Amino acid sequence: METSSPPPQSEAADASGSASTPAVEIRGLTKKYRLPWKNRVLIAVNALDLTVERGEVFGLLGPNGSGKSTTMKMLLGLVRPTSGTARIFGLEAESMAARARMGLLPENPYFYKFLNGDETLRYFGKLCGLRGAALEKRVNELIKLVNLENGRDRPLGAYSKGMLQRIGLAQAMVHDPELLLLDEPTAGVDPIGSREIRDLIVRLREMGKTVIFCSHLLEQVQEVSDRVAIMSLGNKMVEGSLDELLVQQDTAQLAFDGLPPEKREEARAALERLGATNVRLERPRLSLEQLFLKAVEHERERPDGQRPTNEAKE
Amino acid sequence: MSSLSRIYLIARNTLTEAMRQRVLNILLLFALVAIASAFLFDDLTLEADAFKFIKDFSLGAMSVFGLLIALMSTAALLPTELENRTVYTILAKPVHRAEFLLGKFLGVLVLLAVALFLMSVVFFVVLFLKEQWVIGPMEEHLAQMASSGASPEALAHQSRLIEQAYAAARDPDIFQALLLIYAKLAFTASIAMVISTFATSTIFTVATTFMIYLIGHLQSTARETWQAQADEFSLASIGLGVLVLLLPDMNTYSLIDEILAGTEVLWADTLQILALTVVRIAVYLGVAVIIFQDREL
Repeated sequence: METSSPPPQSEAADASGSASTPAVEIRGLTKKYRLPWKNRVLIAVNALDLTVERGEVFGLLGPNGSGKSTTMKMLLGLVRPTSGTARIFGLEAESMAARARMGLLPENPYFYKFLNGDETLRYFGKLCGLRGAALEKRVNELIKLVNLENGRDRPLGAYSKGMLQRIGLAQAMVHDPELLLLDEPTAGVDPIGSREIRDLIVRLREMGKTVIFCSHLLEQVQEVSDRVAIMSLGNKMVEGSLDELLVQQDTAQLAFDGLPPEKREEARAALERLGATNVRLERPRLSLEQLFLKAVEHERERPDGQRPTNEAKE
Repeated sequence: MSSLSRIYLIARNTLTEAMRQRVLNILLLFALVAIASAFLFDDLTLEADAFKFIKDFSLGAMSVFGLLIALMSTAALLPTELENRTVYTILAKPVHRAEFLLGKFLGVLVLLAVALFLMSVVFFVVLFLKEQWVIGPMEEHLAQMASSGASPEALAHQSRLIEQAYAAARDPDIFQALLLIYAKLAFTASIAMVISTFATSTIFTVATTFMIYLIGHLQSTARETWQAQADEFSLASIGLGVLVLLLPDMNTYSLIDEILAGTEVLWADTLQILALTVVRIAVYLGVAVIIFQDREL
């Protein structure tokens, strides 16, 4: 049941009092879907543990169907976990109090096509309890923040994809939440718009917000995220800060110009003479893309022609 | 920020959305034209019958078009929100699912009231014009008869005809009939609401609710049969019992037909049915909320 029952006393005090409570704390979160007409279940998310600290920009990555969106929906109480818990600032994820502190930009957001930009933001603002002058002020701020002056009195049915994403971001922020969940914020947006959204995320971090976002644009994730997790078939494969994950420790990088290819071996021999072992001439820092592909490698087709799935017997 | 103001906001938004839907507008336009066309039929011999016809025809049109509007608008509420994913953005805000559902339903109730009001306005205009058209000449005729020295019996007869025509044209019970039609539509909408909370498509909701609506008219027959053989323990009687329990009784609203047939109806009876409808709708919405709470979105 979706409830607004207050969390136990200690947690309530914790949530409001201590700033050390993580923004998001996920423990053993599991979601299984029963497949109709089959005696099998789909494990969309499998025993996920994840902690996102306050003020972090966290990138949640993974191929399509890896459980990212399901995880986000569980954080918002839109989907009920089969088992496990999710806490937002120490509050139960399904509670109204938790939702008051987070904002969601859904994947491919659609809004009421018959409302214009201003009306949309006013509607969501009112739903969050804003009224009168405070509401108008907030609407103006948001329109400016997402750079949507040209969409104020245009119905959303006539918006471009990039404008829809921006109005989506604006409505997610209407109640000034501390945590933002952005599901594919740059999907289908042109490079300039994509850049603007990236800059906005950076600005949100400067404002002290916590941001969790899903994206397939790994380069962008690499640019803005403090930490990332990579999911595959419902399982978390990798989690950590970009430095931890991408920099290969104890490895130095030598860069030089003008070494003829045939002298490479000589150079290697010289380095080994100086005590270096296992000399390699490749780049020591993985790109996030390499890491990503490595993490989800097991999803590829196996020699026997079968693809691994996250379906299981009940 | 109270629950009520959120429900109000969602209801208003639902109403705006419905009003801007082409299908519903066209449906309403058809209904208005149909009711207005009742004015054109006038080859009825008895003057009082002309009014009865207009009432029968118009209230019939209101019931049918009202049913279509109720079914289509209610059945589309949740699927539209789910397909367009607007539900995610709403429910990601501090809004209860119950508030969302009740707001949506309230929007439909207001929509039905607006539609029925517009249809009633056309209906009353038609009735008023018909009154001018039919009773005007009758009164002129009476005046002519009086000035030309007709017999008192003939005069009395003509006045009685005029009285009858007036009685038929200005039957105050018609307001009760309109209220009952509204109640019936609202109740049907609440059934559709329950079904749409677990249905996967709009058409399923429309079809199923329509079936229940039709069979619901037979519910009282089923109930009587079941009560007659209550002490009998057979498969048929159990089946009938289950049917009686599950099906809503649509015959409650047969008072509408009695009003149209010219029977005088007490306000007390109408109010009782209205109160019953409120209780029924509350129960159905309760069920809808319980199902929707647990639904995966």
